[in-house]
Amino acid sequence: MRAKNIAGSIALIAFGIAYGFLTTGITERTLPNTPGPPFFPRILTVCLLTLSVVWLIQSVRGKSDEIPARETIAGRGRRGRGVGLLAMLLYLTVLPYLGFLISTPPLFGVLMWVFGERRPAALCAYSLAVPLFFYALFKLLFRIQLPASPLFG
Amino acid sequence: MSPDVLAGFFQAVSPMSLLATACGAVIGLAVGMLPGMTISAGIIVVLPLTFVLDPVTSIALLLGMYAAGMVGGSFSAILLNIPGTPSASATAIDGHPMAIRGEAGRAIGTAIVASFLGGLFSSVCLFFIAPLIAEVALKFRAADLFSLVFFGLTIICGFAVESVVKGLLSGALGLILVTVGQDPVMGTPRFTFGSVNLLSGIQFLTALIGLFAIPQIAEALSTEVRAFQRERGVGRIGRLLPGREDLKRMRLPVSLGALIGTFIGSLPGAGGPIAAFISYDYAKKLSKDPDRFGTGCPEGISAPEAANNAVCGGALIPMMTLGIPGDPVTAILMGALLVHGLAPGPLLFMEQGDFAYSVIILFFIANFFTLIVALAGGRVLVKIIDLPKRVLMPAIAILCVIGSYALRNSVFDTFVMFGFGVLGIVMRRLKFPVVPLLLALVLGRQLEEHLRVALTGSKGDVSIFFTSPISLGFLILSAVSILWPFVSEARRRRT
Repeated sequence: MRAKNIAGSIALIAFGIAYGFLTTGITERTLPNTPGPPFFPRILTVCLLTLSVVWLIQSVRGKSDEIPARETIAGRGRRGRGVGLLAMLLYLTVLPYLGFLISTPPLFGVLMWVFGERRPAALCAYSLAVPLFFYALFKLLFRIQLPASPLFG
Repeated sequence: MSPDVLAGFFQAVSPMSLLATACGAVIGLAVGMLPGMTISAGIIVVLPLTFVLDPVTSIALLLGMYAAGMVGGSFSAILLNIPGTPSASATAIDGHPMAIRGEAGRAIGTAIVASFLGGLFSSVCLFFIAPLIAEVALKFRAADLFSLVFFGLTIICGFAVESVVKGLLSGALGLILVTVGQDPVMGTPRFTFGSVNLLSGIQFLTALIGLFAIPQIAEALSTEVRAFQRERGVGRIGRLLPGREDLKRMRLPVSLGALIGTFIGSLPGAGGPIAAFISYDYAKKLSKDPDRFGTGCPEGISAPEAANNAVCGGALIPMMTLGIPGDPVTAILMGALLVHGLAPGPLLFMEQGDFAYSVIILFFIANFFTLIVALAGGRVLVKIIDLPKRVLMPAIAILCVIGSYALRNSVFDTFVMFGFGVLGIVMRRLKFPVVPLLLALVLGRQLEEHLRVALTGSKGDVSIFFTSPISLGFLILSAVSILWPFVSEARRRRT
């Protein structure tokens, strides 16, 4: 946890510096003696950097004000999580091109597989039935827009 | 009776509102029962529906879920010894031993009735206290409002987390994310990188879906328990309605739980689990027979259950009157209202008093529906515990995409949701609390606006925050809420 905390605090310091640098690009449009658009982000930069440095010092000294907790993530879960997130990202990328109805069943199938479903019949049945149910519920019953495909509608 | 109260009452008892509250109660009970599925994640799942419903019906659905979700959590706590919601953790201490003894029905019945009474008490408090606070809050000026919002943020960062530094960092990150888009005073674009999608800033509900639901799905993958098994003897649920003797025994713990829950609920960030454990502790200390606690007694169930449902009404008080959500669920409720152009806060009572009162009355009704649905359908609904995660979790993932897309019909928002999901996972891994970030996303724009308006009014003089007694009071409270955890930790180490 110590190494993670140190890496996290360094990442936040880097982010804080980058954010602070970006505030210099904000247009100053204000009356004299009144705060303009970059005012609040600059305060936040100072807060973020100060807190990140405190976190870094705490992490390096090995002292933390947090209550230690048990590590719970298993290796299998980590792999599954990676596959799931990757599948989701791929799904979001193809969603505007293929539309909800075509792109959702494969994602559903992958996620079911990641969660331990191995029966092909169940995989196919649920992957088709659940997205279709959602389509009927949201698009047809409640008239909520779902991503449509420019190719298939 | 004020015309607003009457108008609110008629809005709340319209057939659509009642139907939505009843549906919310059914869904809320089901969601609450599922271990690993928080009420926040459950509400997120139904959010897309609220976009097409009118504001009163939307809030009726969400309030039904909120009240019933707390009760649902006790079902799995009693039957499986796994709390469906964190607030039901204390219920398991006495509930599960009762279930093992073959008294699952009695335990669940006690939990349902205690929750109902706790919720009812807090809704009465909400009805009488909220308008008074709103009236006082109307007198606040920009400096006072800034200090109030600042206090709301610091109390969550300070009290409700394991590490104060991480809590404050989480809040600061949330405030930074809020600065993306047009600034709230002049409309100058900031951190948009030329993207039109970022001009209106990050949509709060989109961020919320990612922050709460995606890490929950990822965590479900990491836990070894893939199906929840009931122990032998716990399978059968008998009669749910508690007997006269149990009702008699519940009087003191329920009264304690209701009082403690309403008070703690009204403090931003404190939440249900704290209220439930404090009530349990007090009920045990004040009991004539404290040794029975922990062995499976109805008093040990009724105190935390009354408290965690009373928290709901308590949490609605700061949300409705000051625009400061008391917990993640009220933050979502606030977001849902903002989608409909309704901003919770003191002005809501002045400008749309009928709606404000309809919310209060709906919460009252939601508690009745929860009681009816839980007592009448509890034995059927409990089968939801056996629902396989391998179907449920992918379905939630799809609902997250629908929810984030439906808000503005934008694929860009689905990526934002995903980004926040990844951020949520990283934060969990680094043991960062998510709630301060969430609250900062809700309150960030207000904080900046009040700060800048106050400083513009004083021509840049910061003493304005210290010369107003209200503002000074809130700033002192903020300092206390940040420093208190450090002081108590130092004291603990010394002893």
